[in-house]
Parts: sequence; structure tokens; C-alpha cells
Amino acid sequence: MTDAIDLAALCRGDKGTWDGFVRRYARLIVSAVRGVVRDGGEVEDLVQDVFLRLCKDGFRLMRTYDPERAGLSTWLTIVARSTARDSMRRRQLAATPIEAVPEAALAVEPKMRERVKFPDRLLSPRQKLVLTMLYDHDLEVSDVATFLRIDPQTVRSTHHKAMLKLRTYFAEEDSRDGDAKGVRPVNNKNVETGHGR
Amino acid sequence: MGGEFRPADQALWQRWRHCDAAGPASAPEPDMASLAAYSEGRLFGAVSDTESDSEIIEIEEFLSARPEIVADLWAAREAAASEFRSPTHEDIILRAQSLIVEPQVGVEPFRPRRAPWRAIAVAASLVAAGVVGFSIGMDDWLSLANAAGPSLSQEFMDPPGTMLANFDEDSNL
Repeated sequence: MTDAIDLAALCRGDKGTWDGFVRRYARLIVSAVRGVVRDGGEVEDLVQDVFLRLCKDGFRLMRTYDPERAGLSTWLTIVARSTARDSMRRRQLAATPIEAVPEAALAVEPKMRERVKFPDRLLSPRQKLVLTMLYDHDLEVSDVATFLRIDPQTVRSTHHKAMLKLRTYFAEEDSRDGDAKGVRPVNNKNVETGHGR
Repeated sequence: MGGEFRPADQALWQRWRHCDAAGPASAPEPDMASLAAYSEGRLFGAVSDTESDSEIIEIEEFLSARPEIVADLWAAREAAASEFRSPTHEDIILRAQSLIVEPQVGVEPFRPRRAPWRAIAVAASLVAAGVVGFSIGMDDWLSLANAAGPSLSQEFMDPPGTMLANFDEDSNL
């Protein structure tokens, strides 16, 4: 599918171009919004929110689209999903009475997480992203490779290097904790040699 | 993941996630154009080691902090590659199209025309009021003048004879 829309006319607010744009991309935007929310009734309102965001303030958001950087379909999908998610969040916040919120959710969270202070760049952004996709999104190595446009073996290698860093860091951290409490330190070797691909 | 990696690795990652969440501020959010360009692979050059590219680093830092955006980029990539399957109701389209209204080209702004008889009536009423007022005033003056005799009208015309009688060179004024 081509993205041949007269963007200049669209951003000028030309009614005919806008109508054509809406008719052409409504299906894509509905599809993108349905990926975020399943409720049919809400989909219609969220689609309207997306179109409204595109044209409000003299097409301010639409003017940021650069055809040299990405296709219109790609850009619109990202805009639509982002808008739908933000709108959903706002509506849920507005619709939830304070009495319905569990007390624990309102409590100020004491910063009682681990006292570990990571050195800067313990993991590179690429390493963090690979681990996020593998473990948080439960994606296959091949999917991660496709997403990052790299070889699957590079994904495995990135994972391996990241895990080495984490094992080393946490082993040292546990060792310091053990020393502080008078406990025998953890044997780092056992941790590091057990890694497989 | 398909069991390719050990559960211990996942536990280590979760431990890191738990600690990192309390860490420094999250990565700045890239604009939509950058995310779209990343999704289409336009930021990646011909060289395989692209981690030196600051824009890619920034986006990947953001994506690792906001994993839900990864799903957006997946969806965007699929959308660019395929036709859309979702049915679209006509009312959704019409509702969105109504956000922009047709500009009124060649139509002059409405300006109600005043009928000419209204201006004539106003002028005529002013003239009539003037004439009536003048005639009433004249009648009153004439009746007053007749009642007081000729001296009153004479006083209006001539100053009293004693008014300047003392203004000679010997007066103290």
C-alpha cells in the first residue's frame, strides 16, 4: 500500500484531503486501537481520539510526520496505539472513585527495594532490550533477531554477555553482604560456569 | 523463549529489574518519528555494529524501560507490511471526517439590510418634533408678551436705560 497523501493540503486543513485521509486510514487506526483495547464501544471513541489528536492545534502532530524517516502507516500505528493507551489510562483514572482504590495502592511506597546501586551502564541499552524481549515479552530468539534486524546468533551472544555481567555483579554484591554479616561468601565460579545458550 | 535459556537466568534478570526500577530516572521518550524510523529499520546503517548510534541507543534505552512500546513497534511493522483486516463502520469514518468542516468560500458574511422607510420615518419625526416644539414655544412667548404689555417685548430688545447710567468717568467702578 502506498502512502500517497497530499500532506501539505492535509496540514492546511483541506476538507477533501482530510476526508480522503480518514477513509483511507480509518481501517488501520481501528486495527491499531484494537491491539490495545478490545471493547468495541471504546474502540470507536478511541479512534475518534486519534483523529482528533492528529488534527488539533492546526495539525500540530501531523506536521511532525516526516516521510523521509518512516512510512505513514508505521507512524500512524504508533500514534494510534500511544493515543489509545494514554486515553484509556486517563479514562480509568477518571472513572475510578477514590473509595474503590485499594489502600495499598495509595500508600506511599517506602524505598525498601534492594540497596544495590548499579554502576552506570552495567548493561548496555541493547543488552537490556534483548533481555526485556526474551524474558518480559517471552519472545523467541528468532523474533528478537527479526525485530532488531540482527542475526539470531548475535542475540544469543548479547544475552550471554549480559548474563555474565549480571552474574559477576550480583556474586560480588552477595559476597559483600556475606562479609558484612560474617557469612561465607558465595562461590562465583559455580554461578558463572553453569551458563548455557 | 522456548526454554532456550535457563530459569536461573530469568531469575537473575528479574532481580536486576527489581533493583533497576528503583534506580535513576527513566530514559527520555523519543518522538514518534524516531520510533517509526526505528521500527522500519531506517536508523540502522549498513554496518552491523550500530550501537554507537546515539539515536538507537536512546530508543533502545527507552524501549527497555517501557516494554509495552515494543509491542507498538511490532504492530507498526506488521501494519506497514500488510493490508488491514479490521472492519470499519461507516459511522466511524463520518464522525472523524466531521472534525474538519468545509470552509465557506465566496459567501459574504450576513449583514441585515435596513429598510429605507425607517430612516425616512426617523427624519420625519425629528422634523415634526422640531416644528411642534417651535410653534409651542412661539405661542408661549407671544401670550406672555401680550399679557405683560409692550414694555416686556421692549425689554427683550433694548437694555434698561439705567444699566450703563453710572459708568461715567467719575464712578468708582
